[in-house]
Parts: sequence; C-alpha cells; structure tokens
Amino acid sequence: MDHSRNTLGALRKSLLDGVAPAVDRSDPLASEQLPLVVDYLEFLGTRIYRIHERSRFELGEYLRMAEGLLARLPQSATAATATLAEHIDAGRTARECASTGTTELIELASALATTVSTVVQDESLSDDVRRALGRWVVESSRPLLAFQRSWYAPFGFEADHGRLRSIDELL
Amino acid sequence: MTSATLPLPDRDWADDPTDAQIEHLRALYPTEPEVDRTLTRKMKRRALGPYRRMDLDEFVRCVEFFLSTHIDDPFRVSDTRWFTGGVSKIQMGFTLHRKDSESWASERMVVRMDPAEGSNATSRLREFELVGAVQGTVPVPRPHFIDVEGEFFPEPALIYSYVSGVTKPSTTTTGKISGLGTNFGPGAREPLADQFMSSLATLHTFDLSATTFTSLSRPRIGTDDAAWWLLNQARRTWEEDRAEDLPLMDVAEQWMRHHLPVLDHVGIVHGDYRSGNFLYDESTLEITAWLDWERGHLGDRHRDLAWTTQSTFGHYDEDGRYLVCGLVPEDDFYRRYEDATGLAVDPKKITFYKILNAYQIVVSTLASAHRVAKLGKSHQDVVLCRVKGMAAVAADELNTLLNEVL
Repeated sequence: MDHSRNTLGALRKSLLDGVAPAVDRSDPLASEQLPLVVDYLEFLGTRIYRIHERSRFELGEYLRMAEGLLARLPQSATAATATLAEHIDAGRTARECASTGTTELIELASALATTVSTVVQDESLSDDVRRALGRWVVESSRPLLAFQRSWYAPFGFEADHGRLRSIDELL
Repeated sequence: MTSATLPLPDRDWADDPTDAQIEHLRALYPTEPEVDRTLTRKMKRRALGPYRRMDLDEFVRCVEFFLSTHIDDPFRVSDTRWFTGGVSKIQMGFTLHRKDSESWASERMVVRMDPAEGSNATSRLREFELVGAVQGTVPVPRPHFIDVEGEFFPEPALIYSYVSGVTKPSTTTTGKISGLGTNFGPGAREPLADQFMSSLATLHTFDLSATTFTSLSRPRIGTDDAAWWLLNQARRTWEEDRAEDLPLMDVAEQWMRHHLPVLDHVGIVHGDYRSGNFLYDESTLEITAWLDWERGHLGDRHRDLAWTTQSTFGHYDEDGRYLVCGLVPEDDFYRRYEDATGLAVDPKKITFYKILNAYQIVVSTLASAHRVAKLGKSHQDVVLCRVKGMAAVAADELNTLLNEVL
C-alpha cells in the first residue's frame, strides 16, 4: 500500500512546526513562499490518488474531440484523416487496457492534442470545414476545461467556487 | 509497459533552443523590434541555468557599483530592504543620499530587476521610457536610472522613486491575489473612479507628437499593425514556452488572424490597467501612482478597455450591479470613457481584444509559467506553478468568447 498521502501530511507538519518558526520574518520572500509550499502539499494530498483517473479522463476527452474532428473532415483530407485515425486507435486501445500506466495515458492524450492542433491549422482545408472544426473544438473543450477548473479550484482563482462541479462528479 | 521510465511530453527542445529554431520563430512571428529583442534575449539565455537568489548585501553592492558609474557627486545608500508582492520582478527599496554642493539630499527609491526569466518577457527600457513620458500627466514614480542589458545587475533593472500608498483598503479581505476583485468600499469608490477614468483618458489621448521613444514602435493608423504585433508576440511566446498543445489556442489564433481590427487612433496603452496596479492614499483617497507598466505599448485603446473590464478584476456591489475593477458600473464605464476622451468604443474591437487578452493570459499562465518553473528561472517558481489554476479559468473564458463569434 502506498503511503504518499501520509508522507505529504508529515512534510506539511514539519514545515509548519519545525521550519516556519525559524524563518526570518524580515525576509518577505521566505515568509510568502513557505505558506504557498505548505498549501501545495495539502492540495497534492487531495489529488495524488486521483491523477491516474484524471489522465484517463483527459485521454477520453481528447479521444472524443479527435473522433468528432475525424467525422467532420472531408474524404479528400486523406493525410489528416490517416494521422488522426492512427492516434485515435492507439489512444482507444490504451484507454481500454487496465494496465496502461499514468505516464502513457498522459503521453497519448498529448499526442492526440497535437494531432488535433495540427489539423485545425491546416490551411489546405476550406474555410467552411475549418469553421466547423473550430466550432467542434470549442464545444468539445468544455468538459476538459470544466474539469481543470474544478481540479485547481482550491488555488483560489475562481470568483464563484460554488458554481463548479466537484471532481468526483466529473471523473 | 513501465510508465515510470517514460518521459512526459514537454517539447524539450525549448529548454535549449538552437539559433536556427530561434530564427525560425522570429521570422514566423514578426513583431516590434524591442519585443523581438526581449524574446530573442530570453531564448538565447534559456540554457544558461536557473535563477540564483542573491542575498541583500550582494544586491546592495550591485546598486552601489551601478550608482557609482551614474552619479558624479558623493552618495550613500541606506534603509535597504526587499519588497514583496511582485511575481514577475525582484524589487528592493532603499534610500539614496546624494551630496549636492554643500548639502545632502535624500530620496527613497525602488530597484526593479527581472529574474533570469519571468512569466512575461518584457523590456525594462520600455517601462522606463513610458513612465518618463507620462510624468506630470498621470501619477507615476519618477524614473531615475536604467541598466538596459544587465551590465551592472545580473539582469536588466531600473530604479525609480518610491511612492507611498496602498493597493487595497488595509481592512479588506478582498484582492488577496494580485488585487483581483478588490472591494474599495462604497465611500472610496467614486473619488477613486474619477481619477481612474481620468488617467485612462489621459493615456489614450496622450499627444505623441512631441515624444520620441527608442523602444516603442508606433503602429500605423488605418492598418492592423497594432493587433498583428500583439498576436504575433503572444503566439511566438506560446511556441517558445508551452509544454503541450491546446487545440483551443489554435482555433483562437486562426479566428484572430482573420479578424484583426484596423487602428483608428494611436494612444499609450498601459497594458495592465486595473485595481491592484495603482497606489492610493487611504486618508485622502488620492491615487498616488500607477505601477506595472511592463505590458505598456503604443496601440489600440480597446486593448486596455477589454483588459480593464475583465470580470475577474471587478465585483458586484451592494445593489447587485457589476463594478469594473470594483469602481464603476460597466455601462457607466464606457459612457464616462467616451465623454472623457471623445473616442468611440467599438464593441467588435472590444470582443477581439477580449479574445486576445484571454489568449495572452493562457500563454503566460499555462505556457510561460510552466517553462520558467521547470527550468527554475525565477524567484517565484512556486507561485508560477500555482497560476496554472488561473490558466484553466482564462482558457474557459477564451472558450466562451470563441463560442460567441464562431
């Protein structure tokens, strides 16, 4: 059994009880950064066992985005279609496999994002097709962005924290 | 597969770019010469290693050595102390005592130095020139000295006069993060709002005919220079700094390239005109200084207007009205601005610049913050890791804006 969350708590306590009293209060940088480090350790404690789920979720969302893009590409766009299809296959296979590691999930999601980015910038596609692709990217980005806002909400950049869905709901 | 041994995707070439890669991006995204110089300098120095924190004595020695080459008369430096609060710059306060004829004069000053790399690669020279140009028309610190290339300091630095004041009421709990959502209180709003609107109008109608800048280019009226330069600057930075792709950013760039607004009037654009970036005297409610000119340029007023009216900078008042920067109801804001400047506000241009601004915030908080923290280039890497939370908010804002125009 992994005990990382326990260790993060111990690190946090060490900083608060052992290190903080020794920090020179006249050093503003040290005084400002120590609470931020403590805060991040606390945040990480709430997220560390969800990172794998997050990676699966994000790969799933990029697969959905790429599949939607593929459906909107004209048959004449053979190179883009072939590259997209190849990355979709690899991503889908990995996501369906229980033994796929976290790093691999992240890498495949990133590769899919790069492929989608390349396709939407393809100047050889007609304006109408590119507009349709752009609209789809905007639409299919929503769940990803909603998730990321919820994930990072404890950092305090949200004007109305209460309007966000919990990460449990999203994962 | 053993995933622990796999490297994460990170576009590692950007950690140590070749001259050819730097030149490729320069050619692909032309922008103002000073912006180009600043970004090129950043990339050429990227592999030089992490930022090393200096202790106060070491920094004071830099100040004294620098001043000794700029002041002929006897001088001494006292009351040295670090200033907090700056994410993008290292700041130290001190008092400069100078002997003039037979007497000594003292003035409190601030040194503002870049870290090895920050979340915004900007020019101290531009900041120095802009603050100097608007002296006497808008409250600003008096610029005294500049080390353009980091010849005396480890990095480029400027020295200007210290101005007292607060960025938010001393009793408020709002505005904790860089002045965002500051509630100035009902009694302070109108006096501050008057000055807030007046200085903005002064900048945007500033008479540029008598001013010469060496580090700011003037975009041509009747062209899309102003928007094109800013878009290229943001896109080049995205290419230089990001760890991974975000397709939304490519859709946004495509839309902006096809909708660049034409400039009808050139003004001084502050670039970060909002609550948190001005100091005021709590007893007199007088704005004592506008700070943080690092994003300043000559260009389109709509860039500032779209920035200032961002929802994260304001809040709702006791009657449920949304206040721009916690000061002015939004509809009043545009009416008062038009009355004060005689310049029209074009909603289409506001939309364009809102998209560009959201795009630029994603560049800074997602791409640049990641690269700088990865390479340990700043004094505030821990803060830069935290601003990833702001990237999600800005990207969602960008997504909402694009949904309205696509």
